Amino acid sequence: MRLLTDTAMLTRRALRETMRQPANELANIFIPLFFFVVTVGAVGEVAKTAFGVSDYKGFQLPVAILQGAAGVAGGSGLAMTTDIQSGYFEKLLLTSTPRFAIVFGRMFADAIKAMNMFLLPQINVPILGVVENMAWFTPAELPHNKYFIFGQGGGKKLALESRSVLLGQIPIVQSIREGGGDEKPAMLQTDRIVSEAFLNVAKNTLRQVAVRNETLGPTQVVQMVTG
Amino acid sequence: MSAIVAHQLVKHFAPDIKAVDGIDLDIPEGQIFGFLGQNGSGKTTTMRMLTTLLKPTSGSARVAGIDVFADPGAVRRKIGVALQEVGLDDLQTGRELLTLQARLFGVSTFDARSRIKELLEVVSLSDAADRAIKGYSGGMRRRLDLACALVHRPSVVFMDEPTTGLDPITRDAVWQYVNELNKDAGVTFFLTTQYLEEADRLCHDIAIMDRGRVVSRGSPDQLKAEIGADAIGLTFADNATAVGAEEPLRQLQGVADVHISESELVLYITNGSAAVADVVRALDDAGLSLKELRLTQPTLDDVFLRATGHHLAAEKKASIPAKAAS
Repeated sequence: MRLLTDTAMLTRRALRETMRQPANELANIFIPLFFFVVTVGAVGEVAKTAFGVSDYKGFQLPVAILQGAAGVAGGSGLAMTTDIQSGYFEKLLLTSTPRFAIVFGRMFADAIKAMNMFLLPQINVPILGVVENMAWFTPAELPHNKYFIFGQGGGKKLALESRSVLLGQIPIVQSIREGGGDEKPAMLQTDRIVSEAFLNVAKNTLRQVAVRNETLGPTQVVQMVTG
Repeated sequence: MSAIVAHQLVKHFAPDIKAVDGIDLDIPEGQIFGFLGQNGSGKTTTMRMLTTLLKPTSGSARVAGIDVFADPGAVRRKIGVALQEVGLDDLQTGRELLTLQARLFGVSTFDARSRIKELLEVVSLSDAADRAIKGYSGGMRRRLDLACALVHRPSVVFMDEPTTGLDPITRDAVWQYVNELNKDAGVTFFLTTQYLEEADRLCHDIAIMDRGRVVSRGSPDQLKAEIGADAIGLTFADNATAVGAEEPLRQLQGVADVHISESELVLYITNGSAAVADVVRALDDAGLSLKELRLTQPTLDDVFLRATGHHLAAEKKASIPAKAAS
């Protein structure tokens, strides 16, 4: 509980900082947009004539969005470095807050900022929901035990804050990592805990897609106006 | 009960850099304890170990009855820390920073509000509380840092050179508040300082550190009494003259000790006022000319000189900056 409340307070602090230096966030929007315009202008026609891609803009848009999200995360890393250099990080370490809350606060703020980028009126990509990764740890020999090593309820909280839903929770299970190494997707594993977790996310995602299709119109291609 | 106990605390940063070289401490609850020493003597390193920020090379320590290295989280709940480097978040306001700090220590929103109001008045920041910290002067930042250390009502407070950079009025206010907290709430203070006046006026007990070791320990009055003589300070044109003066002066009756630091010689002698004429005569007979002579009661600087062989930095003993950023 303490982890959650402290993470929420530190998230608010990180978001407050964002509001107070909007120029940093503008860069996160401007740079991906610049590359988006340049790439579409330079390659769009080639893609159309050589490869028959009729909507190169639609193809390139997720890249720009991901680039923006990566910029947000990078800015956050820089903010953490600033805290360390200024000595404020030590002040936080000297409080009785759980250590994870200091990092989680920044991560949550990043997630909220990235989500808000999707929701910008010019982009307007609906958020289907939140998937909480590493939600708990379950050892193979005790499949019914859950150890919430990073705290409990973070995904639900983020879903509430972003006014979306929790699509599911993926636990830390050794077989997921092993399956990745053996090119065996977790979904197709015989481990019931893992396959159920992924199946649950898939089902909820489908449901949310249906809800989205019921309540919202078709996705519009981003319109760029020059001049 | 002891508030702070350390046993053979050692910190080596490299095999040959002994920042702290085997310190033993036993500080009772409710004491204001001062760590006096020059830069690099090991004061801050000791404090960082006691406040859970640094692991020792060897040794053990307990703060507020809790093992510092076995249960650092529990120690942090009991202590307040104002470090030498004032680390603040420039994008927040003073009030926001204090509120976050209080809440991260588990203080309720209601209690935090009244506590912060009280602390802002003590550190004279009520008017600036809702301004961004990036606009604060150096003195304001230090005062806010002090308030951060006290916001959760800790039972043991560590302060690393707490009044450096403060103007005299705020410095007095801080001393007064430290005294009040100590008397009224029984808060134990562990402070490092380079200011002799601060140590003399504030501390019940003092440890003098030199090259990672405690070289002298006691109350200010005890330490001064140990010298057992008046101090005659003699300033010569250069170090060679001061060294040349040592031998003839040691021949005088009642000389307890002689210390030389650069061009200055301090003669500890019983019944100093009567001995002044003999001192001048002895120097005249030796053909040594004197620039300045001062007769004083022993000060903490004399204690420091005797314990370490050198003065605490001259500018520190002279006075605390008369005008600092406010």
